[in-house]
Amino acid sequence: MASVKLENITKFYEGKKPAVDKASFEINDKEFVVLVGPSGCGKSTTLRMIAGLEEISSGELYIDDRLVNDVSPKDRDIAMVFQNYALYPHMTVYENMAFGLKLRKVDKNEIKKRVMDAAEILGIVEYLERKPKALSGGQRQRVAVGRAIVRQPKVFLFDEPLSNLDAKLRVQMRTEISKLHKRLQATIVYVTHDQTEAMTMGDRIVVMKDGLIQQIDNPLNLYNFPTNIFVAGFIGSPAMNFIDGKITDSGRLQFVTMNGTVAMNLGESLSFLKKAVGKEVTLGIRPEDILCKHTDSETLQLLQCTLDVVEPMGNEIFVYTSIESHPVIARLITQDLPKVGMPYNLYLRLNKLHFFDKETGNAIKS
Amino acid sequence: MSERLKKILVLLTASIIAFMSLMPFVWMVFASFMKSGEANVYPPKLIPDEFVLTHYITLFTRLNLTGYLINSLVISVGVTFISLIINSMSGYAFAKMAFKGKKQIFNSLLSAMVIPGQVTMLPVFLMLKNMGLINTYWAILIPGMASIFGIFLIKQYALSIPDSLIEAARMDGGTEIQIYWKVILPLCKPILVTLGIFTFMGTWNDFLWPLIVMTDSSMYTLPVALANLMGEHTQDTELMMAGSVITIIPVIVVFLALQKYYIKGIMLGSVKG
Repeated sequence: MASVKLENITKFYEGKKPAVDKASFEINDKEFVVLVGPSGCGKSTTLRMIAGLEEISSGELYIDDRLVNDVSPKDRDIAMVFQNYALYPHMTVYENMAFGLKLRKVDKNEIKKRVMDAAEILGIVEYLERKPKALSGGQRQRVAVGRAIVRQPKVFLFDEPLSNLDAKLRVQMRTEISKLHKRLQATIVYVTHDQTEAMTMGDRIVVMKDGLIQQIDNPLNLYNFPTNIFVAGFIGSPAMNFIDGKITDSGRLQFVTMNGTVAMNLGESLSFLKKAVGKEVTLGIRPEDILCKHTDSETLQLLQCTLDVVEPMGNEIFVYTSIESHPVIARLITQDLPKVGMPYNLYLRLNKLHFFDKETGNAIKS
Repeated sequence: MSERLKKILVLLTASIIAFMSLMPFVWMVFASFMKSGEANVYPPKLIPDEFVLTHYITLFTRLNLTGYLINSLVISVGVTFISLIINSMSGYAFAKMAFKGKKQIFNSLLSAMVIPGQVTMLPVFLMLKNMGLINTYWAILIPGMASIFGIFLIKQYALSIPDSLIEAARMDGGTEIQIYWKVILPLCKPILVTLGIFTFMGTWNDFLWPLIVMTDSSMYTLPVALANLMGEHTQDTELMMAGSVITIIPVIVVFLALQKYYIKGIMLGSVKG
């Protein structure tokens, strides 16, 4: 296994704006790194540049400290699992998995051993003689993974491998790939647009948007300390609530919404916001950081509102309201079903508030 | 009209058309076994009084049909294989590879399709003559090595092969030639068979070009030889029919052997849109 290092990797297609702009990060040995972002953010292009399927316009790519910019895909010692499986339709499952090894002139017995091992790990031994068209989507995906495993490459690349599967199978394959990672001790780069996949699978996550890397961190740090409003809104489901307003200081430091309907006192812990006094900011709060009951253990901010929609999920209740045309979703742990249209008290956890500069979108940090 | 009646009518019409188009062939086969002169009697006969093989024997002994048969076979098989390889290579390249001027080259090829073959006959003949290839197999093999229609057909088919398949093969360690040979060609099988049948039949049945470039009678292909036969043996209808039977047998064999794929190939356009 191996490490991968990207230094200022840039990709230009025709047109002025780069598809990937100066991407720099390092994937450590045995690490599972997920590239995530909305479609068109450059995550797949980045992966394809690592694979060697796209030329690198500028910057340097190292695999195991060896510069591989001009090394062809087959000599980079990497394997890739494609979104549409890309199995050879005219070959059986066995032949599909053995193809890469045959091309590399690996000994026949060795090929057999590796294919059988991989098939056993993936539970596809009984399908080895079938053609891909006689397999279900999940089985095909397993074969595609198997084809990568038998190669015993330095790095595995996954390009949205689960997006063609149905929801249930996706959850199942997700855990299987995670298990596989532990078992193989493999270096994996995984591309997805699904933040749940990214959060559940990645050791570290690279969030991208418009060709630019927004933040690189482990899942919990990404969730708890987003560096900008995009990351804050992209990670988490339901998404973080955003309310525009201003920081004022008339003796007491306050966040006041744009039209002044809500004013919250910001306590000592948020005193760093003094530097943003007078600035327009966006307040962010996650749905689970809004409570329905007052507790004395932490500082809360009362928010009186009327509920628009109430969705009981069984273990929790989602309630929808709005503050000055900003929709707000709260995720309440309660069994008392609130009534739609009635006044209702919600409590925001002050120590869980996020503040972003409205102009730049960057987080305002202490 | 009931469904049943409709079905019967369709079948009846189809049978009549089939009968009408098959009749000449059936008569050809029977007439080839008739004794000399028997085919020209009035009222005409379908079944010979006595089946004789004299005309076939004459063809292969006195008239050296074996030589013409070999000429035709070598040329048709050769043209079919060489053109399949060249057409599939360039069709694949036009469909899946990025190179400078790809669009322009392909468009100029397409526009060249409207030039009738007869227009280029003289220049091609002169070129071959200058190369000293007249009266050799190369005179037919070389002009038949690639066809724009074939390139176009394979390009359209290869477009339907997902890029990721080629990329997967590239990651698996395939060289460009290996990808072409082990992934693209097997996937193109239906269209290759279809094009192969077209090419084989077209070359086998071609009359005009072999007549132009093969002036030495030992280099004649079957259709040319048959036409010569017609000139020399105007009265001998039975002999002519025997020659015709020999000429069409290989075509029928090829077609029957490959028709399963052939139909699949023709259907492709309609299914894939």
